[in-house]
Amino acid sequence: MIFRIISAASVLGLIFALTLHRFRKSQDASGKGSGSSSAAGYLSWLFHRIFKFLQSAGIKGWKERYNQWIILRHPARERWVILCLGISYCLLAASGFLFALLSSQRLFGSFLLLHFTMGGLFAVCLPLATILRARHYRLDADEPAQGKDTPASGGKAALPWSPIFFWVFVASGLCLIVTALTLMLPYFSLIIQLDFFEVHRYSALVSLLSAIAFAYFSRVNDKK
Amino acid sequence: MKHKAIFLFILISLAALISLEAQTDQKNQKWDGSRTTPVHQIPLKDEFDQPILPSEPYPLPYSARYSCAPCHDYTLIQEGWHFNAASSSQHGRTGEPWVWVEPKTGTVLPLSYRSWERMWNPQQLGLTPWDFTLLFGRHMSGGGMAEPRSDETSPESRWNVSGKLEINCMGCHNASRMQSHSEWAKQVLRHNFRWAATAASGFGEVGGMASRLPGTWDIYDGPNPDDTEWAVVPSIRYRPEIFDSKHRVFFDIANKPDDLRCLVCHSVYPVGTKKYSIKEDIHSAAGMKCVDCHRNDISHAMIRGYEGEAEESQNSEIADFTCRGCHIGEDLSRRGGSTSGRLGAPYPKHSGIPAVHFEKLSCTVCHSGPVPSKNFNRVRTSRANRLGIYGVAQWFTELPHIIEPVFVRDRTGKITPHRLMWPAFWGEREGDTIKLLKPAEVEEAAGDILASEENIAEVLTAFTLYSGIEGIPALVASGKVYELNVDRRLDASLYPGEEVPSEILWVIKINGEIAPLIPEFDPEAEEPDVDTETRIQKALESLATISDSPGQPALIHKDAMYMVVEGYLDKTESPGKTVNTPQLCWFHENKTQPIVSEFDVRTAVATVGEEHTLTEEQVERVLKSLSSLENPQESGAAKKFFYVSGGKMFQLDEAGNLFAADHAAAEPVIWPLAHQVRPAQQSLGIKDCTDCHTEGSVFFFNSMTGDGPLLTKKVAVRSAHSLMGLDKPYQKLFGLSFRIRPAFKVALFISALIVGSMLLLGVLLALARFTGLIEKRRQP
Repeated sequence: MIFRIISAASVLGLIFALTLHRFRKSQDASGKGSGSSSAAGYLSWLFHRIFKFLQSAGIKGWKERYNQWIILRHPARERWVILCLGISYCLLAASGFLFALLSSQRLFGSFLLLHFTMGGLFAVCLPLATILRARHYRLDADEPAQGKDTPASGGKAALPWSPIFFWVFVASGLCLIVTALTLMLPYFSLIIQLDFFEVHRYSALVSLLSAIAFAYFSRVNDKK
Repeated sequence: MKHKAIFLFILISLAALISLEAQTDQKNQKWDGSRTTPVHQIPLKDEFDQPILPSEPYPLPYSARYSCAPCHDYTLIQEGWHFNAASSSQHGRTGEPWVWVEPKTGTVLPLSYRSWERMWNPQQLGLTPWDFTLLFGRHMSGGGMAEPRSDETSPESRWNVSGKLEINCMGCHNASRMQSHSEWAKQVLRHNFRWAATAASGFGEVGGMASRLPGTWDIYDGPNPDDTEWAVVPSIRYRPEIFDSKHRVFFDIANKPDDLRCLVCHSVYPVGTKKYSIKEDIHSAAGMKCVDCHRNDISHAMIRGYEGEAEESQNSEIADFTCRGCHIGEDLSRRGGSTSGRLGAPYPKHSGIPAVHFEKLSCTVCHSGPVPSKNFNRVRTSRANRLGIYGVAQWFTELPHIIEPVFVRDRTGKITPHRLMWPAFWGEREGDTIKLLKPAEVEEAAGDILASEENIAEVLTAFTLYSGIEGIPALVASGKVYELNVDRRLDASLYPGEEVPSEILWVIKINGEIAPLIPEFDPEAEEPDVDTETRIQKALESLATISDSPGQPALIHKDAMYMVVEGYLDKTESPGKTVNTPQLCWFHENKTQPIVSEFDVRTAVATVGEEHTLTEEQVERVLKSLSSLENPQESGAAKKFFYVSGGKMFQLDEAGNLFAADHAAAEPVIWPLAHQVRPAQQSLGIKDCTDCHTEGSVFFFNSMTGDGPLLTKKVAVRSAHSLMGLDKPYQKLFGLSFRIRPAFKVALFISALIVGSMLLLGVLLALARFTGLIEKRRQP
């Protein structure tokens, strides 16, 4: 139950923070004052964005997104890796969190099989993606390279949000792989397995949060 | 008004007295805390609460109700698990049914007074407590319906003759090896109910049979000096040495009954297993007794030990006596500490077993019963197959066929191993309403249809007893020889000769050699063979002893017919067609018919020596017979008779042909098994996941066919996954996935190694830069 509360609160909190961040940026960009940053204004903006997103949710819209996110951003050799990583991750998160949040039972049945299969794909793609993309997400680069966000307000040093979330995602992915592996090995007692399972769940949550944040900041930078 | 007041006063006084007495009894019940068992040197009392003096003529048997009463509350014990099936409303998890087996009518009917799924309540069938006690008293512990109140007795019962079957305290609590269950069963069979406990305990020797006494006899009547041969009144001769000078008897009481006492009614025998290779429950092997877990107090409310029992009985203390309660404890977080489990029960590590197993499976799936194999294990149980009764006769029965382990979801939704049997019974249905027919009703309606074996046996008996012909009479048919056995049934053996006769022959077996009962002879010979004629006369005379025969015995051969007329063999012209071998027959109204019908021989050939006791032809005929007896105007046209066997319901269609269909009433009866618990090293999954998870796993994909007394190919088929409510393609796919699991694990390991290395590299680089070992990269 605690995990459910933490998961729901953290995901909703992050989405709220990111949408608010985006809302403020859009307000700044359009030159409107802070007075228009009221709750009503935010909600109106949010519904407008959601509506806009749904309008473009057809095949054409997804094709455009695919072009924007995969074709334009990645060279040909990376595309399949990123695509597979993205698909496997989405399915892993969907199957895992569906059970974790909505069911009192552990993952079983077709969802377990899907989770298991996608886990394999994820485990293959993650190291490849890390090798291929690591240099793009260096934390020590001086220039405002890809992924570095501009400060929300002047006067503060810019933090490299995208690289940070990239590496958090990789680290949590490692945790997920290691715990999945240990859960399959016949060396650990049920009690230890249950502990690993908790680590797996919280790693998944961190991974999900970092993936959302990473996607957001990467997108912000693209727009920029 | 004054009288009313006096009456009320008396009533109140009586109530107060009874209450006081009850309180006194209650006081006796109070345990002082000592862990010892008092020496039970106590006076025996009879059912009239009178002390028993062994030296008296015709002493009565002891009564547990009165002998034990000074210290133990009999009425409270009567509410215990072993006695309250008919009176309690709390029945808990399904248990083993009583099985009414009647091979002749092909009845295998699971009964229980408890409201357990797919079991028939004896009251629904019209079985009275008397009937039930006669059927199952052999393995009952007395009390309950075997000890009805006076107002509960039915007119046809003979409780006044037999006495009531009181709770047999010593049946469980006797530590002496003198306690004999066989004696108990025999006394019950003889209707010697009130004597059964005394005889079984070894306190004395019981003679006589209440079953032979007239229904008017009463215990006050005492023995009948005029009949010492047949209707002998049951009497007991106590062993004098067990009484002390105060007429007290030492009861060798085991407060905690020995396992052997429990096994009298709770043995399970895997058919075909040698006695020395029977596997023992790991708990028993470790020195535990049944009652270490299955405990009770004076209320005899036994702890059954299944999960959920504590909630049902609203007694949280008994949660400790489940597998989980004892081995794990309530809280998983105890982590195998010293507090986990009773008696230091080993805390299971369950290394490598994913946690989902503990949500979906009961402990017994992996740890109890036989390891699943391609063929389900057939078992006999004490109560269903009448085990543990020893004597000259064979008591145990092959029916019902019980198999294990069958994995089915229990009422908590967890998969649990069960025992399973297919019911078989006759009945009539009107729409969805089903009424069962008692075997006696079916037998009556069936007439000779179900008596094929008996008819043949009757002829062989007549030849054996009355013909005086040397050798063993037998029938030869379809390449087999059918002989009479000690139970006046038939035994079948293969025909020993090389040339198997194609026709049905009555033969004589001498020293293993088969010869025709009536040898070949020439009826037209001028000088008839005297020996042959003598043999013909003997055979015909012996056949004449058969009651209710359809005619006069005769022998036809070629154009001649021989009959015994006024003590002499008479030869006349055969009324029918010419036959080339001598044939015995019945002659009636100028017609002949075989001694036994072709139907009888056909049926005997199909069923004798086989597990099945009925043929489809018999069922069809019996259903027709039942239908013809029913008055359509009274019964309504929609009423249909049926027979259930092998998971199918057999009925007659409009044309009168037999057809089989599925029906809920034909579904198998199941009940969970908990023992024998195997050692951890023999549990499922101990080797690896492929103990169960393979594409051809017997655990998931085994299948069973319906089984019953009817010889038929129309039987139900059930697969293991369907019984568990699981999806076959998914389980196949999941099982298949275990083929690539090793590669999958390697892939995960390599992946983790690469990603981990990358992260480590990043951390090391950051550390090196922080410490100045590597200079920060500069822009050109």
